[in-house]
Amino acid sequence: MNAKAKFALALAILSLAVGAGVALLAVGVWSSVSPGDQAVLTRVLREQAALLATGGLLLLAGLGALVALFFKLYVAAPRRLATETRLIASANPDHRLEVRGPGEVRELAVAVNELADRYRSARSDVEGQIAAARADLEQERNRLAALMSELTLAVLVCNVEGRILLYNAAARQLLDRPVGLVGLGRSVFGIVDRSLIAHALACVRDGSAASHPAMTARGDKLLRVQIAPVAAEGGELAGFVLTLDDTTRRAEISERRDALLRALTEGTRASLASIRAAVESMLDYPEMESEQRRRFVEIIREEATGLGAQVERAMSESSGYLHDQWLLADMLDRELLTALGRSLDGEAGVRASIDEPGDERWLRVDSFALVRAVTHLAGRLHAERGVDEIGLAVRGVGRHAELDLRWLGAPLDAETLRSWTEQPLGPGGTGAASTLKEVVERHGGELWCRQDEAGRGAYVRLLLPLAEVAPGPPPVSPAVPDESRPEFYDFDLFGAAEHAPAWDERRLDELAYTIFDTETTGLSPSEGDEIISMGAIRIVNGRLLRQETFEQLVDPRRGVSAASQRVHGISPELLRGQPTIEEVLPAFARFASDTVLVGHNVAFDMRFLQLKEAQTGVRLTQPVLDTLLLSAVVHPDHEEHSLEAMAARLGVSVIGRHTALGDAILTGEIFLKLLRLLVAQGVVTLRDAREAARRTYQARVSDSLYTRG
Amino acid sequence: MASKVLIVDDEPNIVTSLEFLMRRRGYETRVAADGDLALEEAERFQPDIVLLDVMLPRRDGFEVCQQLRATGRGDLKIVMLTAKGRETEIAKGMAMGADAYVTKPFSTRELVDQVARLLEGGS
Repeated sequence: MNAKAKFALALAILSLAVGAGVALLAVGVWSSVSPGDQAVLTRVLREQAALLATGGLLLLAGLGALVALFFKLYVAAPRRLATETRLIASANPDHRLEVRGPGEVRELAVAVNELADRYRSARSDVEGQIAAARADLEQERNRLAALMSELTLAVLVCNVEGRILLYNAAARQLLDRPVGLVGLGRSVFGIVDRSLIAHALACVRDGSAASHPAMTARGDKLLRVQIAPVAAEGGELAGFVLTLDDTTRRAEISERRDALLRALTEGTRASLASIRAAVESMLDYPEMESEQRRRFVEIIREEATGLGAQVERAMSESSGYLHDQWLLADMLDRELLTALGRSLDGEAGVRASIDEPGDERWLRVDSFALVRAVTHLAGRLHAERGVDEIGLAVRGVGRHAELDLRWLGAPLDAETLRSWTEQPLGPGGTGAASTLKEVVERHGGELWCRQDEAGRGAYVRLLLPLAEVAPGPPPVSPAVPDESRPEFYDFDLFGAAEHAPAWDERRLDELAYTIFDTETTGLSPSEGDEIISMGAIRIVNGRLLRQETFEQLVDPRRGVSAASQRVHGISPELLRGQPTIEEVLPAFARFASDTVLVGHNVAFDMRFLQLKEAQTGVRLTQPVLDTLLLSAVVHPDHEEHSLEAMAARLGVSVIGRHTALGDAILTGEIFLKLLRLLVAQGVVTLRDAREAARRTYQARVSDSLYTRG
Repeated sequence: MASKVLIVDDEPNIVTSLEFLMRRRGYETRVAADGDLALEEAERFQPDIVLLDVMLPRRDGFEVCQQLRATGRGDLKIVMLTAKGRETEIAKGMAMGADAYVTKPFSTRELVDQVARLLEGGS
């Protein structure tokens, strides 16, 4: 029951009591006097009626004033104290009660303030201890976050529901188109197909492989995805780790190869047709005149020359991608020699001596296959020719490198070398292993054996491609400012509920929120006013994610009123060339998907958005909460629920107002404080919050909807 | 005495042209259609120059070239012909001892000039 109702009730009861007392007295007097006296009394009363009535009313007024005073001092004041004490306890420990009113209430206020002081110092003690206890854990997390941020590979860590717990800057860079897909607590299934992940996890569960690779297309990108499960302590699935890299370039290469093939087949067909027609004409009509004949011959030569040029062009253009570069990577010559040496010593049973290369040279090789193939060759030399020691050297010649294996003894004849190069690599000669010949061909290389210059030994020489002088720009390692790193992770989400129940039944503190604000050309959406700016920020697990914001100016395709320009300071020039609402709203919808929308006096913003439904095809169907209404739920006795007043009450500092994002952030901070107060009042689920807000709303004047708080 | 040219190629169409061109210049010609036949013919015919295709049945041109260099006359000239024409392949041909390396398709006039230069002792 609110204060006004209580007051009315108290007054009514008191009035009734006094009335009843007077009535009882009257009845008593009336019954105790004689009938004669009764007549006299009646006459006197009738003559003095006006006086009596006035007296009665005065008495009532006096009583009312007394009740009001009493009420103000001993009912309203304690209520105020209670509200503000709750504020201290749950939202703003720095708040203090105002000491006023009668002595008892003042004493109570002083006592509460003392308690608040103690509470604050106790709390800071506890906070200090918690902070100290967390420092180690925090350091570990930061180390992991820092490590991940250095990776050029995109990494996403998800819980078993597919919600993103951790991501790195590379993931954001690779996948965050459109903006807003990659974020803490967001579903990874917006990025990678659900069935693909399910399939991969099933494969991992069945087989012995620790991870499973797959391909997926996203927009104009082709991604290679590696999925590895994360096991919880009991061994069941706790989540999974996705690593993704962009294989678009590889796909491009194969596409260009296709195009080349097409050009070669289709292009040569035309020339061949001309040649054949000319030749057949000459054959079928041997009697043709010499001038005609000369022209046909000219055609043949022209077309043949053209064909030659075409093939030449194709060869030179395709040299970079004709052979499969899937596994070729740049490797330093020294490192290749070291790897070969180790493998020869270990696998082939041959002592390897390495000629240290003079200067560094980058080779473009599939090092695994190459080492395996060369080891196979050394193994044959050892087994069939008794070679115990092999010298390894690399030299650069033009665009190629010569890799030599030298030994003392006779060179291999061509037939033997050929048969060795065609033997399958690997143990037992079975399986899908390729041959030395295939490995050399994949590198676009050649291989042969010669006697050395001195005539005492021999060498096998492999020609291998050198890395291009200017290899493509290295993947940029995205710079992440140190102080911003910690917000990249949130491990607590691992404990999130298994499956999201219906929105309404979920607890307020486990929901994700998008707090947003708009700036507009004016206050009348139905009369053509438009959105010119949108800003939004998200809350996940009770934290404002300051790195995951949405901020976009919008071209309203109309003027901006001077009055609203004064509020937000956005001039029409600033808006020219910005995306239109048809582009911005879908992006915002993606940013806000799967979250509860929150705004201050949000009906205003929702009205604008609602009017754009038909035009943009975007309908925001998620639940909506209004901080203005929630503030009224929490502080029914306060009249002022503007952002500034709430911020002051709740101890939130106000900076950067009147930009859409600035207001959204401020609203978000206020909303977090309100959430705590709501829970303290027993408003626990989303349903509770919405019903409480609805009641408050009904109590408030509804036609103030479109005036801003 | 006319110079002797051994033509080694398994494509009859190109052989026809090569034979025609060489004969027009007054050279004596023989033809071999695979690697093994090429080595036999070289033994019998004792050519001054071999026009040697790389892609041959049985024994490829590189092997034939290597074999000819190992056993044949020191002044034998070898011109390798290939349809592939990769840089690494040319490097291998030279390493096997070829005097010249000609990529198909070639200008007939240039090939004839090349052969004439080699036979006169140039390169």
